[in-house]
Amino acid sequence: MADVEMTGLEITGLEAVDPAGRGSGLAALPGNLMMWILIFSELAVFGVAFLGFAVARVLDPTTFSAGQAHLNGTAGALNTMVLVTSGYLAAKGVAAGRRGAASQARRAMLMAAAVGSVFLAVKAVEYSATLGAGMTIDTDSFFTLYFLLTGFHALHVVLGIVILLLVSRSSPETLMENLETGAAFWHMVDLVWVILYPLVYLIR
Amino acid sequence: MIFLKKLDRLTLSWLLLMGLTAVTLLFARHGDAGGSVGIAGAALLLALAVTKGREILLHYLELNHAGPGWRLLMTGWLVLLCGAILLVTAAGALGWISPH
Repeated sequence: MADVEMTGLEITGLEAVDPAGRGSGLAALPGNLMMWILIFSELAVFGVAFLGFAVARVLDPTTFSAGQAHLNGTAGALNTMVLVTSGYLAAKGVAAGRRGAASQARRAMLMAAAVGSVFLAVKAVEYSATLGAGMTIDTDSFFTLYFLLTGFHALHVVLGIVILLLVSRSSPETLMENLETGAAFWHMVDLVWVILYPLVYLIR
Repeated sequence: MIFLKKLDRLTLSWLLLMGLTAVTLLFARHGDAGGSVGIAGAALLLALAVTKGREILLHYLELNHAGPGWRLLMTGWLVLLCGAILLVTAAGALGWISPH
């Protein structure tokens, strides 16, 4: 029976049921637990940094408003769309792996990495415009925090792309767990950007 | 409508994320000084961020299958963080915290 090969959603059709047949507690999280420990610590660090940015802006609104005027809000929105599309492809890859469609899953991860690299290209254009206008990490408190936050995030995008590429080359035995683990990291990078973008580019 | 019915939940999340991001474009500034978005504007932008973050947590990260504890912890982090950012921003706008 074809249904036997399909796990989770196809058999049950219910949202409430775990698609990968995971257990409860820590086992309920998709992918490797070590990745989730990293995700929790990253979210804690970014959370504190975002709050720090909000406080710094309140203490010096003029500098922050003038600095933000140099940023390209449209490029920020474009990059949000790039990341959520890449995240969608990675999630599709996990779903394909779960269906047993290994080559489709690998292809989806490669596509997710390719779309993710567009983020870096847009960021490079942004940075060169900002630096070209004479704004550096030393300019003022806004640009120090802007370059630190977006730079730290962009490094996570680089790492995420490397992880997606590695995952796409996993052996058949480890493929499913690696798909979930790599995608989990990638979605965390996506989640952080979804808050960073309005905080740094839009709120004033 | 037939097209919409055929959508899986993941694709719906993606379309939602793209649509909500398009809304934020209204707030994008292009070099001009631009006035404050105000407390209401900040609240709207952060509410959009929470909505998008929730889609990512529940459907991309599959926390909708991980049990109520994980959902509460992770969406709680998202809501508390964005709420705290809003509180700080509002405190500045209302003059509760004065610039140094």
